[in-house]
Amino acid sequence: MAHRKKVLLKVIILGDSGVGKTSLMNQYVNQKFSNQYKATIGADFLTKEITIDEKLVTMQIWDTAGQERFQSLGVAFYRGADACVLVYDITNPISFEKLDSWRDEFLAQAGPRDPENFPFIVLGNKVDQENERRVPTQKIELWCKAKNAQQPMSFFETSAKEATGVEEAFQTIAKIALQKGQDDDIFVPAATIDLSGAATKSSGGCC
Amino acid sequence: MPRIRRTKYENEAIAVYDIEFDEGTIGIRFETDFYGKHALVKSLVEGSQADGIFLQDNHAIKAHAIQPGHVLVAVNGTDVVNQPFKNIMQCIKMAKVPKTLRFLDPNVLSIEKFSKDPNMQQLVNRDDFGFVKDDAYILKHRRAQKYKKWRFRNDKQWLDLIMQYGGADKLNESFNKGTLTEQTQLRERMEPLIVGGIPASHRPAIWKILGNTKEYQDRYSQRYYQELLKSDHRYSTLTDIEKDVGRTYPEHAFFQEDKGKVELTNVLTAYAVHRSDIGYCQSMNFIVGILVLFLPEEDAFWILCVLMDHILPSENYSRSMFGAQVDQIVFKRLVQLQVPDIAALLEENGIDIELVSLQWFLCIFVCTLPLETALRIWDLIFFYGQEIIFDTAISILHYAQQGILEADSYTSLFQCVRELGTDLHDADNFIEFVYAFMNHEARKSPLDLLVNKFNKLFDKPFPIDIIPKQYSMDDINQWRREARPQSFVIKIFLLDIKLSFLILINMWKMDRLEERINGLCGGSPTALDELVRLCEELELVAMSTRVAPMDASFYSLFFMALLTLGRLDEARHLWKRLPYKQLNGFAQIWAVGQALWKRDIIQAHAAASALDSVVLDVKVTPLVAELKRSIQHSIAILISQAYTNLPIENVAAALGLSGKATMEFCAKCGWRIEGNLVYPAKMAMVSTNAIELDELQHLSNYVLHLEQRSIMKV
Repeated sequence: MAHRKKVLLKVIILGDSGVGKTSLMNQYVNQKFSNQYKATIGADFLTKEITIDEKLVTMQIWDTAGQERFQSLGVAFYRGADACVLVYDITNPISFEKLDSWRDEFLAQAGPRDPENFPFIVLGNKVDQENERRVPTQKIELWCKAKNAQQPMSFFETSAKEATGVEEAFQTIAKIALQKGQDDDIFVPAATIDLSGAATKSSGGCC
Repeated sequence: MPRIRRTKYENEAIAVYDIEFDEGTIGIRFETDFYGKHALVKSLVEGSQADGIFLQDNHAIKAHAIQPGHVLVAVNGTDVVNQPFKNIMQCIKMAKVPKTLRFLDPNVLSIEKFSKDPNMQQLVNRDDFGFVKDDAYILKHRRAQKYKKWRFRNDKQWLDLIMQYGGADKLNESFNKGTLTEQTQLRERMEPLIVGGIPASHRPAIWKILGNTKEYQDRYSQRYYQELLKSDHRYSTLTDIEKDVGRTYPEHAFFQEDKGKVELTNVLTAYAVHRSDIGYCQSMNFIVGILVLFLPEEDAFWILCVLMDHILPSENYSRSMFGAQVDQIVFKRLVQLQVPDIAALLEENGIDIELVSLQWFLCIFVCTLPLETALRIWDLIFFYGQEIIFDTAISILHYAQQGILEADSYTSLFQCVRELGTDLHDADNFIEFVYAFMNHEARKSPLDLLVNKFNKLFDKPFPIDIIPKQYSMDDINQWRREARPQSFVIKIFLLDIKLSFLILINMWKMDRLEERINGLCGGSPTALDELVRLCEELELVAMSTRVAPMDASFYSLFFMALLTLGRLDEARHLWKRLPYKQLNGFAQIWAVGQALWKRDIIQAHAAASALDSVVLDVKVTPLVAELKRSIQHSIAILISQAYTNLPIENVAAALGLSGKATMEFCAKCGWRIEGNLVYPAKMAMVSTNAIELDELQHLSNYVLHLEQRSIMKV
């Protein structure tokens, strides 16, 4: 897709309710933190323009609802995602255990062409509450390795409140996604891309 | 990092500004004036939080925001202008983090002038309902408040109506229970008033009437709500509620305090227990938030019930959210039909309207429209029903059509969609639009009739440019039916089917089992074991789906089976989570369990015998005899283990039998009787504690099953 009119990266943030998805998005895009966020219903998004390797990239970051029953409503938002950010809360082991299910659900619903190598990144949020930590770093390391031994997912421990690691994390995922997009271009003829684009559209319009 | 939050200007110079400080030392030295009043900034501590805030991040002019001489006028929204200096310092110390300090620059605006200027003095911008809003919102909102005269006339008409009927209760009688003619007449009379808006003071009462809340409420006992709150909250959704309570209208003072949070939690919890099949669904919190803001807690609960069960689309909030998914599909079809230009543009850019419309439908617009406008829409929904939700959503798109079509870039189009509806501050104007659109349905009535009606209602000509509505509620329902099988998304659909299958299969198994139970005789607990196992599974399945909880007859069977098997621990847990405690029979059954639990054998026999006179479910009745037998059996085992011989009276008492029956029992067990003494033969102890291998297998299957969430996945 080197000939795309614009380089647009669609990044989806997933994770349990209350792990800090909205806060991370706002910290990254607006450099703001508030403890007055409302619960996200459905989805919301923000865009940010960044430069990677001298290329101007518009990052469209999608924040989603975390309650389990909303998982089945994500289809519309997952479509066409270039990367996925999985978030858990280091003070909440359940949110860590749910990563698997978020990842599987995403792959099942977004249906990327190459699910094995789809760009994921894992963020353990709320490191500002280090003394309440209940998910040790080794655990997430193991998890990332278990998912893909050759190329373990990158993970970052972040604090949306104190802006720790947020910038780096999103930069990384943007880079990985961009790299992946280019790789795909090498292997997939342009015509196929167009077709798949058209196919996505028609399925969007059938309802 | 501390930050400047809001500033107010006077002739282009900053007059008042807020700064939010994080934990730790703030770093401002204050001094006071001659009279010991006011706190003035003396200096800033170098390297402190306060030292790091600059007015402009412009390298040329790097001026500190806080300057010596500035006056501290508020701490976390509390006015401190005229407080003694000592109190002000105390106030800063005690303030909760983040501490928001508001300063005044006396060079721009004098303290005297500041104190007199209501606009400046207002510490935080709040709308008419107490929600914190930014300057732009408030400005637009005030500009929209123009039709005051009209409002006044409408409010008076409401009052007249209520007075004429002799109060809200009487009005309720006529509206919901009057003769058909009476109801029609009242509805006709109310219609223009509803469209004009229910005055805030009457809104709770009128909503209750329109929703026929009383009838719903009368189906339950007077203390039902209190009982719900006291009942055992065993649903995991409660942690979801906890998480969301702090994230529901955090900008409103009511929800910053415990009272608001407690009321919100209570109503949501009560509903989750009341409809355990639905539980708690995010977005209910915003609906309930509005309700508890205007209504007493319990009233809010009943209105919520009516909204969820009767007014809003069904299954919107269920565990599968199936209704919500289907309605999104239907809505997209409506968009194509009513505003094809927008639909085409969105499709071309790959934007799914669901991005915003899902939230519109689930929160019934309270998180989108300005609150006054949203409440007016709620008035209409209570009166006309759920069709208004679709009409409103389409109207929002109509309203924004120009803006959307003129968006010059992909990003601005996205932004436009994201902000749809948020600036519809002129509630009257928007409601007129919705009303005209709603009624401008070709099949409903000729246009001239509508135009006449509209003119009378609004004192202004009917806007010709409103596109006729091309669908009716019948269409919506038809499309919903069509969307169902189509929405394969919707493995959920499969999920539903799978679950109903599971239940059906189990039901069938249970039916079979019942037959076996009916013919069940003596000591073989295998069939009962199987029954209990199935009951457990069925209960689990029923709880994890949207299906209503199992009925009382199921639970009485389950309960009796557990007791009969002597699995007291499990029986006790079941009793704890039993939804039908108050129903006839359960207390009596549990009396047996309690006696056994306390090892009070005599009492257990008495309680078991008492069951004979209780009217129990047909399925359960045969189990009563079985239960008695099982108690006797376990006692017999204990006796045989403990005694080599004992007096026959004791045996009779322990078994709860008469003399003759005891002899027969002993004979059956092969126990020798010599004179007054019984010599029991050793009986094998049935080990109930040890985990059998297949049970272990069974348990690990459950764990696996839960881990893979195979219930939730197909």
